Amino acid sequence: MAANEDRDNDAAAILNWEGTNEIKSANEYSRGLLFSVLDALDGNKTIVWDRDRSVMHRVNLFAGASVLAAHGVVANHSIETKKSASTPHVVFFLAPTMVSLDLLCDYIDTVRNDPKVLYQVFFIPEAWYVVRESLKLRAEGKYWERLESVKEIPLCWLPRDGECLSLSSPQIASRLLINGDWTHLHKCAVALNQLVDMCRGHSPSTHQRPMAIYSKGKWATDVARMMQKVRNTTEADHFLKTTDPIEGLLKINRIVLIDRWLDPLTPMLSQLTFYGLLDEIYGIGTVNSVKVPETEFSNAKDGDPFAEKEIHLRDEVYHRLKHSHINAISNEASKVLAEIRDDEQFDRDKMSVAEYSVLVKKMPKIINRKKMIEQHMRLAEMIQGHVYCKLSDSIKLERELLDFSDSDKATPLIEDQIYDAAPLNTVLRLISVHSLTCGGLKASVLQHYRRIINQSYGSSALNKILKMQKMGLIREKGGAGKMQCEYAPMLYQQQKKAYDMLPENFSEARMSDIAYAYSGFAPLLCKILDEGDRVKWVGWPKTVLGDDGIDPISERDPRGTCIFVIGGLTRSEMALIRENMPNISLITTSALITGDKLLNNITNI
Amino acid sequence: MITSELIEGMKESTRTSTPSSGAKPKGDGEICLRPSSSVFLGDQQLYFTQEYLATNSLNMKYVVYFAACQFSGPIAVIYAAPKSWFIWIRTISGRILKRDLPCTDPVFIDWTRAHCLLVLSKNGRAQVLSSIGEKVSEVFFDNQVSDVHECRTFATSRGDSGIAVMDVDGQVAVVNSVSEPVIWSMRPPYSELPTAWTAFQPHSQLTHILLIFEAVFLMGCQGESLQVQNHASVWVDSSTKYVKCVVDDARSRIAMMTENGKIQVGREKVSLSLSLRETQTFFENSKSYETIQIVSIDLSTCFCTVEVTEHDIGKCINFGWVGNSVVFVQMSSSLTVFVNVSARRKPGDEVLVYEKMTANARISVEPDGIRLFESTRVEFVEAASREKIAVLNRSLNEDGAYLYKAAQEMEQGTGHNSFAASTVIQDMYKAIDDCISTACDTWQPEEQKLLLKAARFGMAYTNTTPDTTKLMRAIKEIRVLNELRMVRTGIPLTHRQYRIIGDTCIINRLIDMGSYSVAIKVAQWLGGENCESVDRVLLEWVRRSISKVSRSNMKMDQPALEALDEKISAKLLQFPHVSMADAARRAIEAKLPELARLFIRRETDDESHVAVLLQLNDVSAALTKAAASQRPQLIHQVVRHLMTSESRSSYELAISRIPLAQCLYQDLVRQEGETRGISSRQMLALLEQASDFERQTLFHFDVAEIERNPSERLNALRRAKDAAKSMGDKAIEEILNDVSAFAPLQIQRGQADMSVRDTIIEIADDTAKVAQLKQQARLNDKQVLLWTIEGLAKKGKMEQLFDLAQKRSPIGYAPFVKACVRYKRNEEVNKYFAKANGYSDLVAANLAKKNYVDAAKLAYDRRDREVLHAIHMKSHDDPVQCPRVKQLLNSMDQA
Repeated sequence: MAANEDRDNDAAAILNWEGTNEIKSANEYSRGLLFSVLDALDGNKTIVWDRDRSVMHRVNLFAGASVLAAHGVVANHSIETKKSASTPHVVFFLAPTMVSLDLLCDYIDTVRNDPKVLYQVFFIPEAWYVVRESLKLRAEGKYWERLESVKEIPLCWLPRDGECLSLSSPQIASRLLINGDWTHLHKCAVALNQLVDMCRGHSPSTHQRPMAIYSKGKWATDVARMMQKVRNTTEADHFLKTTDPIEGLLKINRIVLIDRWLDPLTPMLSQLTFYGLLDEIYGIGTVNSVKVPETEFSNAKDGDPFAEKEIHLRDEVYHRLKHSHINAISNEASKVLAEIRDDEQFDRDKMSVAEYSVLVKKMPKIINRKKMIEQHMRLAEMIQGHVYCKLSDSIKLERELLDFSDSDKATPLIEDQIYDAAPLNTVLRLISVHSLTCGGLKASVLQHYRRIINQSYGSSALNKILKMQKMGLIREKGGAGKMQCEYAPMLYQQQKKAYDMLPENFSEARMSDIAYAYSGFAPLLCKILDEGDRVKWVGWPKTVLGDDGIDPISERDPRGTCIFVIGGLTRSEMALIRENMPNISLITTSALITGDKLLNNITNI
Repeated sequence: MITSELIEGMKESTRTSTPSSGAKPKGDGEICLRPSSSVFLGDQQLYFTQEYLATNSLNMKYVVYFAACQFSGPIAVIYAAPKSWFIWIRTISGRILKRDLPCTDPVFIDWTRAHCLLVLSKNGRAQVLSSIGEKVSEVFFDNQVSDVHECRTFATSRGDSGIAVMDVDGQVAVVNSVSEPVIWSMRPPYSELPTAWTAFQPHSQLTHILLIFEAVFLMGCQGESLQVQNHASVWVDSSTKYVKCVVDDARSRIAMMTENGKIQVGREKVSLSLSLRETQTFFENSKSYETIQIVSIDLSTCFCTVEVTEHDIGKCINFGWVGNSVVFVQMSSSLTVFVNVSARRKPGDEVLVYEKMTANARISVEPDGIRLFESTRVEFVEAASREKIAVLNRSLNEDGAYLYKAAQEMEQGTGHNSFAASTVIQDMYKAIDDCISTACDTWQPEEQKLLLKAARFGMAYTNTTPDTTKLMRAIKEIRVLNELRMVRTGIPLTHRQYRIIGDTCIINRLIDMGSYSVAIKVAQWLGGENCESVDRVLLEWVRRSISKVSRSNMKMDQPALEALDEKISAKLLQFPHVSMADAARRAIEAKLPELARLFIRRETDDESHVAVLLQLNDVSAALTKAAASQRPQLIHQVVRHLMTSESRSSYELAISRIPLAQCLYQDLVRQEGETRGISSRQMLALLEQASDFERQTLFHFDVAEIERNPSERLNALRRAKDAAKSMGDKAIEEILNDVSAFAPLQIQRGQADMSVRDTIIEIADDTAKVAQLKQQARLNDKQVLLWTIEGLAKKGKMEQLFDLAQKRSPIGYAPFVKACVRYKRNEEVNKYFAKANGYSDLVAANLAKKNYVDAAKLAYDRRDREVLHAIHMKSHDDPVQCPRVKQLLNSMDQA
């Protein structure tokens, strides 16, 4: 079985699509960071991993076990197993949390390693000042002394589907709006500066080349300002550093920052691309894979109902299909099938030896492609079933609310779903859509929703609805300042017309249609970006990093724009940007989200 | 016998002013760049360079004690006044660094290598002063010694100086380093005083003391007793008296001088035999010879012996080295004699002596020469380097000389001569190097230029790409040297001296002397605009300016402070890389917090700004600044500082004033609490302090969500209600009121984890309870009906359900059908399906039964495309019905 799987993976590797050049460069940079850390330590290393699996996932995105082994990692332990290590270095990869710190101290206390073994602690993706300080102070510095070094490896940009870099912090909107914790914006600024470094390098000649930052929205403006400050303060350090061998890989001409909260509506709506739906229904994990029930996938009546099949989404076939609208996926799939058919058409009798050998080489690819298309067609089928049978009512209601929304009365369908105790997130998303489209619910309507939600789901649901209010996902019309969101509201009614968000004509099959992904609704965020791109970002608040004055070449070149969406981006929007705005060569965001993910990541006070 | 040969330099260059200043420098001590005169002393050549003219203010005439700092540093002199003594410190050019510094009973002054002036009083107290006369430290020999007889300073391997003090009893007390004085002493076995003595520290060895009692040599190092050096007897002339011994700069050789040897010492000194002794007696009283011997530092070998007959050198007043192979003997203030003591001399060679007449001369010894301070001028006597002799004298067979010639010919347009000269050169690289190093060793800028040009010219002849680093470095250094030699600076450093002490030391010396502007200039020339030395100079300047103020004990008023701040900042801002925070730290050190505050206002780097504010203990300003910088780490730093330095209530109050810091602190509390489990109360306290009722409400909700204990959960919800009330949100309060009214009963029933809906479903068969609940939880009819239906179907109370269906259902019968399908009461389904009437109820009932085609037909009949489309979507569930529904949909679209 295992061998079989290995072969599968090998075959998959043939078709792997690593992503756009920009993503590849960014990965190269992060890999460089990781390896420079490992290679700086002579001799063999044991990596002790944090209990928090996300650290391992993060590192594995850039280097798997075999690649790590090539850099001298001979053993991988979990911090909780407390196995003693026999290598000269023990490298801890930890998340910067107090929990990890406790585990580390516990490890130092209990594991009887040779005192000559050097402990190197690396926090990923950043070392929180507080963690570092409390490590220093704990037990009068006993632990601190045992450690040879405490550093950070800023692996912050995680590649997503080869088309997007994500900071993978879906909590950011909630942290900002509920906890008022602005430090997350600072983290964004630091990460973005790393992006600028990838682009400009550290050498004094290029480092100071200006980089234009355009920003839209309150958060974006803050981040732009912080980036400038971060840049200024780190400048001195940069000069001390020896120049990076992998500098200047990334080619971007400007960075555009935009707030998700200019358009909180779109994530609340159901995505309708293949890719977006996969995320909505099954959830795409950090390692770019989905887990689906085995029985559902194989369409078997019996079998272990809990068995899950993990499907990796990185093959070339998937990348061709992913942006298709779920109703139009067969168009794209038939093209792939036709290609496979072409490949298979050969006349054995008339083939020369050379042609044969070419064919033999091509064979695994053909076979694998067939397998992949099969797999993804089945996934698409499952999703279609799910959408048509379970979500069609909600989607229909969403469409109705987008067209016309009445703040004065509750929507019967939403009420019915609440009475029926439909999945909470679905219901909350619909209420949110109702509220956002009508510019705030009347107090009595809101109260009615809150009351019946409480009755059907209990007080925790009420808590969530209040937090959504605080986040501005649900608003009270003319509310008297109670549970008000500090972020300015989206004015859907006006913007709908101004940005032509509901075009008369659209085609789900045409990906160049900016309304295709949401079947007739053009997301405001994409519309704003599209407009900005068209006017070359004139009129957007602009900050220049580095030397004053602008690099005329990069300034004039409309291509090479990098966007960063603060607060999350849906995969359908990503599809729209990829398909409609060729000037945007790199998409980055704080997280790739779905409505459910956004709601699930609402934080506690 | 005296071979002297004066070489006149190029006569055309007789400018006396420096090229840069244009006009003649005013005031005392005119810089003189007249070409040096020179004299050959065998294989050695001495160059005489008059450095400064008209140095009247050096005022040598009445000087009692004199000391000049090695490496062309300042000179210190002591004048005697009727009742006391006064020290004056000047640069060599005569600029006064310190005047009229009183001192008591000085017997000895000298400069240490660390640029400090050592003044030893008769009772054995040594004061260490800086070059501008500030007291640095004191060394007390008085416990160890009686009155001072003599004193020697010596260079140590660490670049500092040590002192050895001999008291009138002959005991020697020594410190190895003036900066870290630890006194140790040594007592000779004889009661009388030695005829000559010295102290020295050979390379990487302990300090040695050499005492000479006539011809008996005693030597001992620290920690050992004095030993008679018997191995010295091979060369010691036991019949005479050794009166001087001087260690050379490299600390490898000692020059000895004997006094009035009654015997002429045979040149065949190697074999000391009886017969020789007889010859010695023969020569007795015939003529008195004095000898100079050069011996190795361990006294094992004698390199050279020179007998001087012309002068009674045993009576000299000063004796020392000039470079490596020449010694000087100062006979009187008006006569100094130079003697070649080169090791290449063979026994029997002519004794090479040069006499120089001086006026009131004082002598200071440098590693590469000596400096003569006369009444009206300062002259430097330099033992020329091999390169300089070779190049400047146009010696034959010297590549450097040919290159210099060739370059000069080229300059004068006689190219053929130039070519001729250059073809003779054998090793062009050596020639270039020679020219460069000669350029460094010359004094006149014109000559320097010519030599550097020659070096550049030579590069054209090399095959490889010329390596210009040496040339560039030489140019840089010559520029510095020329600047230092200016009258205004007065450090006529030679290049060889410069190479010995190095860049940093030069800058330090300039700082010591308070010549900040020159120091900055030099630092920039040497290290570039942003080098560390520039910072150092500036900060030292700041420190001194500030400490001058703080020491003055003058109460500084605000305008005065502002003026000082203005002055210092204006300067510092010219050097953008120098941090104002450092200046502020200096101000704090000088206990001038107000000034520090003024400085820090100008600091642009947030991190240092905050750090200084914390140092000033101005926490609220630090917090505000950190918050304004929007850098989490800075805020954390301040918060941590607060947490360690102040009580909880006071720092929380301070933090709560700054929202940015507040949220960060909350995060800290939350994170630390997660592992310790104490967060909740602290967090709440913070929210209460901030009167943030919205978040308090949410906070209580969160607690309720996590809480497992039902009554605790209820309490949390009640607190949430209170918070909502404080917030003024009636609506939320109302809901929570209902919840808290409903919850206790739930707890009684043991259904605390259930929602109202779940409870109704659970108790659907109990009509009375349902009615009671309906009232308590303020449910509407539809809710109650729907949930009752579901509850009955779930529990299988089919009769009761049927009874319910008997009344006309206000919500239709589709919910009945749905509930039956959901709970698989298949036999019951049709009962209710039959009751369904009305279009929407029928469609819903059909859908619930998954009769998609029937539902579609109903919609088709009504031409209700929207519903039909929805049915079509749902029909995907059933592959059989789906195409038929699709057909209906299509046919309607076509119609």
